[in-house]
Amino acid sequence: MPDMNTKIELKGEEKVIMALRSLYTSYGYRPYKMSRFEEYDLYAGNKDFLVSGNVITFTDTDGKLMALKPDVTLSIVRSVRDVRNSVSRICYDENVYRVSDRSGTFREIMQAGLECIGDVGLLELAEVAVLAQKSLTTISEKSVLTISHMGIIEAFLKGISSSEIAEEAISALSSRNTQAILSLQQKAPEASDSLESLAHLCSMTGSNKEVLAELETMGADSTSLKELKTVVSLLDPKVARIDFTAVGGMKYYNGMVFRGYVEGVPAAVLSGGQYDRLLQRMGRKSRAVGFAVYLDALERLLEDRREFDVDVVLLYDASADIAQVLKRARALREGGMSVMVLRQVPEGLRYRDLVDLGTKRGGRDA
Amino acid sequence: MLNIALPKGRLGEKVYTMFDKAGFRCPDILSDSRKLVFESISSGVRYFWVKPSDVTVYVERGAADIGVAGKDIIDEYTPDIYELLDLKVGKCRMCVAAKKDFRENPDVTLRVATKFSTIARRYYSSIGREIDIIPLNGSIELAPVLGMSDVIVDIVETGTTLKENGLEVFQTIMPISARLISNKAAFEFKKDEILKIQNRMSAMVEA
Repeated sequence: MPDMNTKIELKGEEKVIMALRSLYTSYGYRPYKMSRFEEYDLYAGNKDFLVSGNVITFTDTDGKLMALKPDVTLSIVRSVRDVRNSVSRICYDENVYRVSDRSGTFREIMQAGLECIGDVGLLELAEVAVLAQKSLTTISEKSVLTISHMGIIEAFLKGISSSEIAEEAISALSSRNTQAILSLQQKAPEASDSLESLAHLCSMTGSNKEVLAELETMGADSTSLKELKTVVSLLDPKVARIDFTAVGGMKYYNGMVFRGYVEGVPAAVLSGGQYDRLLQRMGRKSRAVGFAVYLDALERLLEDRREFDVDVVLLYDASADIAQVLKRARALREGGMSVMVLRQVPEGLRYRDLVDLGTKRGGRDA
Repeated sequence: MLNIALPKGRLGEKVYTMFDKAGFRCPDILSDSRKLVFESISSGVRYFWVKPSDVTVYVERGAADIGVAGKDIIDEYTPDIYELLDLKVGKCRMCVAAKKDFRENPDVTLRVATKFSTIARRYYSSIGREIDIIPLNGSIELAPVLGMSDVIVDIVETGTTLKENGLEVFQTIMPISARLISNKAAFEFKKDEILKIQNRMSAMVEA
């Protein structure tokens, strides 16, 4: 039995995991535990959906090619059945395994997140957006959630007949490169208007209200715009911003796309959106929306910078009565302190207080 | 405080004068010193000099909020950053060059010596040509001279080095110039300052 008086010392990421889990379960999301291994086939068909195309594989005992799970969403989608007029709400905190594209080394990445799968409507979309925002504010007071909508982007892309130009335009949009989008007009003069609109989407940096008004004037896809308007109205304008540079892969994402940032972490810590097309590709009727929080990115931000390694060092020597030493240590722990019992203080150990029980050394018994 | 990574060398100095004109002054930076970090409290900026090919690393990892990097480096390393503005300085071209008398034999694998493996691979795969990349770090022009490669893929500014080694440009892959880049998270948290720099520099480039 753990000593109930002992303070629970959790690492920063562990605290975040617990806070997120209780946030998600309070909205009826049910925790889901997965196996670390999946059949490789699941990923082979949907490689573009994965952040990194490199999957760590191995052969199981009957010769089947298996993978160390590089992603959680695909596993959840596969395990949830289509239900009419209802949704399944699932949350998780899991490790995923990836090969770093740059260095080629294996990485274990801690992720938390949620998926809402089934007859997803505006209410569920809004709820997931609210949860994405709450996830970020749980991590840090200074956070930003950017929201884009693939429906609006795609409607403008329709005027571009060449898929190559469309791809270049999307890639320029995601790197906020307005000039590159406009320069495509030379290659595809017939798509001039569409490219102009995309460049406009790329350079919008005003308040949500201003951006929504601009989208109205531009004649943005009305269904998507209505959806975006409703969802954004439910979010905190200090945290949530409309930003079309958050682009999801069009083979999978069809609606809103989220990216989350917290101050002090150089890359996005949250990513997700509505991905009905992934389910269609898997031959399913459901719609789906969800996001993941990358907890490994937070490691440095939440790093525990304690001044001391331990509160009290209790020194004893060979002549000491062991039972007495342990009793003393226990009494200190019951007073809420962490105690390390030692015969000698190792070099570099940082402690708040030293209690020397050594009788031979004639030490102090404070 | 906005952290700005500048490429060491002539291009960096030229680009600094653009930042200076945009109102982000830090005169110490041009002093003849070995210091790498220069700060101006009044302008709210901290500049640092880094190796040109490392600017994208500093920006992607958030050590710098913004920086200036060549399009060649951005396309070679494809960092996860925003490319905000073409500064239209440091102009040159990414080219395929070979010995003057080179005649390509489409029946054999083309040997390509380069510092830019990603760009070379992407270019040749776009035209469906099988190649053998020979990665080098410098003196690329030597490779075809010694017969180690058939062609090189490299940056050409004036073409003098090529000429002096008996090489000439066969194809231009893309034009190169310096770009203002930004870290994605920094853009969200220092948006006003970054947009101010982007807008003022954009006006300067257009002028």
